[in-house]
Amino acid sequence: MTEPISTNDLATIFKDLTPIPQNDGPYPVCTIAYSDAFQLAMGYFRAIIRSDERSERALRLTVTCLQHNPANYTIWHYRRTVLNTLLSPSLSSNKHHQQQQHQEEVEDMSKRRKLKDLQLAASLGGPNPKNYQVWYHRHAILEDILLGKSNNSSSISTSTLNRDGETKEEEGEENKDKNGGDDGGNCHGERYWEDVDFWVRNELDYTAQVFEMDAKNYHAWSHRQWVIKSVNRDALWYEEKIFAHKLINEDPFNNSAWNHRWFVSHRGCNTISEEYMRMEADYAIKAAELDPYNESPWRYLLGLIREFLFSLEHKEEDSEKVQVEHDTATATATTGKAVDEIIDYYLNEIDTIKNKLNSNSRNADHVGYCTQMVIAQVDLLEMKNDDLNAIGVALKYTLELKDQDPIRKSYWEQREQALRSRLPK
Amino acid sequence: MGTSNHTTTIQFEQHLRYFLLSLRKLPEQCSKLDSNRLTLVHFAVHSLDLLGFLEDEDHLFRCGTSKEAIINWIYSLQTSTCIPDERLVSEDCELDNKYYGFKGGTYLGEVPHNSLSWEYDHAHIAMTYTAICTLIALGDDLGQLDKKSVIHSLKVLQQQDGSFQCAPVGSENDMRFLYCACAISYVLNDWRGVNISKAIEYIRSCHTYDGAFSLLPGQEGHGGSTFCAVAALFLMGKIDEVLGSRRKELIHWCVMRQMQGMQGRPNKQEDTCYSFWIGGTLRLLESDHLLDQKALNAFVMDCQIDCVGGFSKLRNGLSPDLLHSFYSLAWLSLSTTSTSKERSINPDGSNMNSFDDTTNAKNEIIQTQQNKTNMSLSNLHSALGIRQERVEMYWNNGA
Repeated sequence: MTEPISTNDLATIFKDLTPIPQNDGPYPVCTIAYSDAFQLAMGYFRAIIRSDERSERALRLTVTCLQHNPANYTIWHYRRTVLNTLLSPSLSSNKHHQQQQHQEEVEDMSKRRKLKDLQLAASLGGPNPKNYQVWYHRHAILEDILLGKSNNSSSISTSTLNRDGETKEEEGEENKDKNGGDDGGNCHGERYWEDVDFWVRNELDYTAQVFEMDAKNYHAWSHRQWVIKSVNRDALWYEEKIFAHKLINEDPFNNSAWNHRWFVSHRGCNTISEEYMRMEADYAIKAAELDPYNESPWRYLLGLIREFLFSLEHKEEDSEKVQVEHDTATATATTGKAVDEIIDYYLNEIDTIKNKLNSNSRNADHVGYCTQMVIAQVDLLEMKNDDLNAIGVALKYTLELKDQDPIRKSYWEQREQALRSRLPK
Repeated sequence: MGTSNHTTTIQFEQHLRYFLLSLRKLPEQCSKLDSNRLTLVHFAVHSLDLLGFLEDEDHLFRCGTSKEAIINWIYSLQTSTCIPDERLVSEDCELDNKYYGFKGGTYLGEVPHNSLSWEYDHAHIAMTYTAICTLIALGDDLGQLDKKSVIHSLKVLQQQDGSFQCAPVGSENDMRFLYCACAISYVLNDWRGVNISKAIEYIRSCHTYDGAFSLLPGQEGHGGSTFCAVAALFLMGKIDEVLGSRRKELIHWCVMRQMQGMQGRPNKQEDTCYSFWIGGTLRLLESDHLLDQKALNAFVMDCQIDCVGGFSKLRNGLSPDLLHSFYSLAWLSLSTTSTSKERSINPDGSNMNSFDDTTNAKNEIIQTQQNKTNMSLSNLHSALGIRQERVEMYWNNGA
């Protein structure tokens, strides 16, 4: 079923069909110099899809065609439609007392077939897949399973299911505890977790494999996030935190890994408590200290503080939102300390890093100006609204940046003007 | 960059040859783009338009094609399929259950008789967007387009979260297709197919912690999705409303993407297409003057492929491709026609910057060929990525 049909065998296997040529009309444009093998395979494809045949040979033909063009979304859709037909349990012909056993056999076969198709998608995608269709195929195969929509895992999504899984969200909301997690209680039975665990592990392993080739593969990160969010299980969120840290450790410049850490900390798009925010900010500072020339930890830090500031300004509106607590948080002090205190704390941390960097420069030959660090300082200083001294320092650093980051001279000039307008004449 | 052997002039003649040849025939490697053929036509046609080569049809004739031929080929990709979906139900029963638009290529062959029930022959939103843009660039009045149905069909693609799929079956949904829906609605001047407040909700949900926009909620900020989000907001007239005080963060993120050329995400490599995705975003925010356009243009020119024409993705790349060629020209068009600052006015009504000074600085690195002193790139509509005049012409023709 996932074995392609070789070019030589096409005529034999489809001897009852006549390949249909592609008709581009009298004056086609951007004609492609397809190989003979491509044209023959597609010729049979056009013939077979005409009759909407739902068979094993149809499945094999789609593999042949997808090897030529793995981005053909129509062929992928046709394949899923055929798979669905072949995977549908047909209980009507069975005697009642055999139904249970038969259903299990069918489910087992379904599971094997689905796994094979995931492997097919992986092989068609190659070691670093950047094709939307191969990733969507995985999504379509897994959607019903992960969203707990089916009692058995036999169906494959071919319809316009909501990617967020509206049913799942509705059920999940009721069962969300303060940690924003789902303890696998009411909305999913044990059977769900048994089924899901296998598939989740498979996807985590697969995406991890892709990251070994390209740790910034956008599709792989999107897919991984979708899997985690769909299942929404405490244990999985914790594991993912560790995974994000592992990748940041391997390459602190991997901005995708930083984004994943943000995603995981916030369990998607929830808000986080002040305590948790500080823990994350401390993490970012530590990473910045290890290499202050790296933009990623600085933007992570700024993102956290800005989000916190925003949440304080909109406290009433957010009161119904779920707040995620760090797993080791003690009694929280969410009385909302003055934002200035937090900003000052991190400005101080940055000063410590700056001093270390400068003292290193006395030992080493030359330590280049650390643009990213100074930008972070300016951004933080600017957040101190009524502090003219802070604005003055920000202005001083901005003037440095005009010089030291000349490609952005016009931009720093604009920032300079904005700062000057906040100072008395 | 001045040390390279590259010419620093836009090689109009080479590009003409490259795009004409592409229009006629593409190599076997492009088999993997077979299902997106219409987008390849789009890149070639709009590039020729920006280069000024669509004004007369001689070039096309010599290549064995014509505007009419291309228009006809595009219309041959128009399709409607029957998709039972309650979102397609309307007061106008003629529109029920039918999904309209354009498909990406001719790989299904001729459509069987009862075409309306053949679900496989369905349209694709990105192909519909490119078809409409390319048709108007070729001067077509969209007379053969079932506009009402195309707009109505957008409804079935919009999801609960506000994003769009590309087709009613078997499709992912994300920011790209939301942008396509907005572009279609904008050109056809009919927003009944888009739930704007839902679309905005989705865009908001993709606003990343570092100020950019991702393809999906929770994902990393990225140059392509940032353009799609901002351009969609622009087309909906909602930039200020949605960005609010976070506008500055977004501008910051964009300018920080400049190394010499533009990178698509922090700590990634420069790539010519981001010159447009991010340069274009900044233009929409009236802030592209904040980039070092001289340096950026030098990078793009370094990616121009001498003798062959076109532009590559990376500097000193070996071969061009249609996508990077088009987006390189799109950026160069934005850059060499004007900057946002030049079009900005001081409070006293004077121009914020002298046109000559800025233009000369940017164009220092790009000179038009000596024997074509009047050759320059045409004005681009920053949000649509096609020549400004084409949209205006279409609207003025009583669209």
